Amino acid sequence: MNESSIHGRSDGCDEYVDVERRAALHALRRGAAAMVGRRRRGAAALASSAAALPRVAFAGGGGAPARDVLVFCFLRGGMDGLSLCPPYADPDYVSMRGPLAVPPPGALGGALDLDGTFGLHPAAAALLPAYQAGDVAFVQGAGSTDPTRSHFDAMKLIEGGVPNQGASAVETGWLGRHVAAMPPAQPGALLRAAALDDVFPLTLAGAPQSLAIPKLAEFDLDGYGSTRALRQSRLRTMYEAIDGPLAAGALSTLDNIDALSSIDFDGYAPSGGAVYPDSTLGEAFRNTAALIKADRGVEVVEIDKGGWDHHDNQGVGAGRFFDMIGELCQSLGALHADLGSLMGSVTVACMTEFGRRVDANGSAGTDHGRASCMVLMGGNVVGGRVVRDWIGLGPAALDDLAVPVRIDYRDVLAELLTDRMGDPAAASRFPNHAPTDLGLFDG
Amino acid sequence: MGAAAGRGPDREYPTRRTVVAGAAALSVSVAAARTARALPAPSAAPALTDLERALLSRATFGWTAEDAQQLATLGHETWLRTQLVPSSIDDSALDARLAAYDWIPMTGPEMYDHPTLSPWEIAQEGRSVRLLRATYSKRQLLERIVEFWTDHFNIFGQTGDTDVLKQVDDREVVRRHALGSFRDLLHASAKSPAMLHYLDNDTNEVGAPQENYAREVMELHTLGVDGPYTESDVRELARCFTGWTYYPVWQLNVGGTFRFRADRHDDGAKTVLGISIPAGGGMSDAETVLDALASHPSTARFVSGKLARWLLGYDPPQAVLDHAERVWRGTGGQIAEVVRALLSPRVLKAANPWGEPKLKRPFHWVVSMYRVTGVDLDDPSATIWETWRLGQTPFQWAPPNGYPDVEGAWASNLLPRWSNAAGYAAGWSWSTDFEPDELRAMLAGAPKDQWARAIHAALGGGFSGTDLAVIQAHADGFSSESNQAVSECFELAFSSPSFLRY
Repeated sequence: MNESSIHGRSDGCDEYVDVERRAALHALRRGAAAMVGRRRRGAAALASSAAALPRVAFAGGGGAPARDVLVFCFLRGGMDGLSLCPPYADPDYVSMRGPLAVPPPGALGGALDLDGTFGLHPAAAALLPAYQAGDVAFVQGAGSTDPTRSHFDAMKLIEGGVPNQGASAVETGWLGRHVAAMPPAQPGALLRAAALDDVFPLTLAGAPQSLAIPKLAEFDLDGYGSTRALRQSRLRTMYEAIDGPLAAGALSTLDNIDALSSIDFDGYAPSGGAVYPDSTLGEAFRNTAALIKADRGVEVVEIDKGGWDHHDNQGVGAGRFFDMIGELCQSLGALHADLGSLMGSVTVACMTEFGRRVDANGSAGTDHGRASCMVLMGGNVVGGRVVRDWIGLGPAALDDLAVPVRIDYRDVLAELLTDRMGDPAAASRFPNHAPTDLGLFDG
Repeated sequence: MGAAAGRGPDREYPTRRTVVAGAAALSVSVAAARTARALPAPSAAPALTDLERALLSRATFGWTAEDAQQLATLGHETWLRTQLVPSSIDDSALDARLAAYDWIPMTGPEMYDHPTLSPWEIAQEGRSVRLLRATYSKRQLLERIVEFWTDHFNIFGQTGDTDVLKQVDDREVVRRHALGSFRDLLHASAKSPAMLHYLDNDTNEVGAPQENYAREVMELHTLGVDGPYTESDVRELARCFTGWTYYPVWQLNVGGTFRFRADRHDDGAKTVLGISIPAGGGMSDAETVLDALASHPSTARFVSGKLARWLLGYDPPQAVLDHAERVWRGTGGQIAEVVRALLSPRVLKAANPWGEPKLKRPFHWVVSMYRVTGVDLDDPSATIWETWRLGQTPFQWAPPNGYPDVEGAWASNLLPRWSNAAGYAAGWSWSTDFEPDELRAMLAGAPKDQWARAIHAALGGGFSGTDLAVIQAHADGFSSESNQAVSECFELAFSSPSFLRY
């Protein structure tokens, strides 16, 4: 499969130029929109919340494009989009999915209706209020045009933002290239991109002022307090003498010790009645909210969640998927409630490397498939809808027993970068790809 | 990958002479120039050549005076040959520490019937045992290779039955075959109940196949993701593996041991990688494919290249990779022979480890600190908890690809290491009784204005001029030779780029 078979277009240079031009037009329109307030929420909502907005929302002044904070959530292992957002009204869904089909709305343990065709997994109920507020869109049938069903190949290609196999040397990520190409949203920002993890993800590789931070609340240098600053300067001298990723990581670390350790993550009190799950993931989202509110100029926070490779005991009314999607959606729902009007300058995007096969396997689980479902959340997401180019689940529609990829993940992300991250050259973050505008965001 | 098949294995297999000639060609293509990074070997340490110091850094979890002395005595090639026959090395000091873990030689069922320990506690002790072996074993090269295969055949130790069964896998699969034949290692891994459970083959049955293991055994364990297999091969191999499972762990005497269930096996004909597998083959279906995978040229290239990157550097010269692949194919995948070739003086020199150092992963780093300071980890379970935040606890990587071994993955999460070094050097570790006095003893009476040189010597050398100057400046800033002064000079040494890299 290649791109043109999906969207009927070529990758010619002329289109690339068009995209640049379109991005510029978007930027102009955005400037006008900013003057009258956000379209759907109205000027009153904006007026009541303007004082609380972090500076990033207005960086650059009236005519400049929006610079949201992006919370990017990579769900590793192949999250089952057919369970998160089941097409309960599709005539082939129940017969193809068999025992793993989510029952229709109204039935015991049934889906929560989204639009009469698609529903939301009952364990994901915590996301429903944000959906009903128009701040969440599901992009169903999204994925990579590359047919690989290897986790690690798919992740490499998606994180690299590169088109297809053959691009074996992927050294920077699409989001890392975006951060590297953009001026800081807040001049002098010390931490522009943070991955809340032990290891640094490829998605962000190449981003300056970036760190992997497993626990934000513990970001401090132990040892004698009397020499804490002196030892930092000693380390700085050592690491300034070398090159490469180790030097960059060390110097970014040293830049941020004072700044981050002055934020009281442990004492942070969420707003809006938000209750984050008592788990590593919940804590990551809670700390993300605290970091955003601290307004230090962070542009991207990546929160990865692994363990979606449900080859067995996937479960419908209970089970591994049930628990994990519940934890994720409670985290997202809590972030939405906690940030409140700040969601007008925050965009959340969740995606996975591929979905699962439509048919259940013999272990009450599913094997590797193709398209899955992306989740977008934010005050400027054109939400309250399930975006798709759905051709059903009949045998002819499937891509080798899996949901076919009808929406290229790069279109979604490029539009996000253009409309919400102020990137005038978002298309160039995805080499050899001319993005299609799907109208996913107010820009 | 059609090209690989076209070349034909017969013509590719090198004779002994071509192997040697290949190695000779390597040394010509080398930029062997040392960088200014390492100072001359400190006088207090045994007189090692640069190449021998590089060997120690590659073949161990970090420098100790005792290992350096042994290498100086035996010389490069004899030391290497000895390390490659681990049973020939007395390891009684480690054995004495391991005597507390009576479950180590037990079968799965025996572990489940352990009179005092729960499966969870055995898993916790398993992580401790891994730490003790890496720190104290005299068979250091074995431990480095065990680390490699533990990642290559990764099993997450908290997936249901893998809590106990990973301990059996560690002993019967990884450790038993780490320096043996790759074919035997692969077959043992395929029958390992921990692997069968972790990658779900225990529920792979006729009529309802599930392909998790079948995919990963080709992608991760043998051919590599660029290998010549298709989605159809994945599904056909999954059919071959139907019925490969293990007895439920609660079953008397046999629980947790491998079991082939003929009644759950798909006995139809299959085709995998172009190999026709006739109907009725039973368990031999998958064994046939495992043999084909073990001897496949793509496996030779993928696994020998990965081993070269593990031992030598992130991006070894192509000639080194080619050489490793030739040795792999020439010996039919004898792991010890490939390791011996990679660490031979000529290849090691060609790989230029001084110019292109690797970043120690967190476990390697903390173990190297423990080794060089000679600490007595007398509560290793507590040490596991204390070092958990470093991000690389044994058997805790959940996806099947193993902990990453690329600099970018680890280079921006350094604060846990620096804080660990600070607490350890200050004597504040809550899992050990380590005291600054022990660091003071390592200074061997050197006056404060000589501390950087003394630390350089005590830690086995390899420190850059910048790092030593910074350490000395820090010492100079103290008005007395206080515990804090000693601790912080060592803290800076352990936190320096010179000690983080190898």
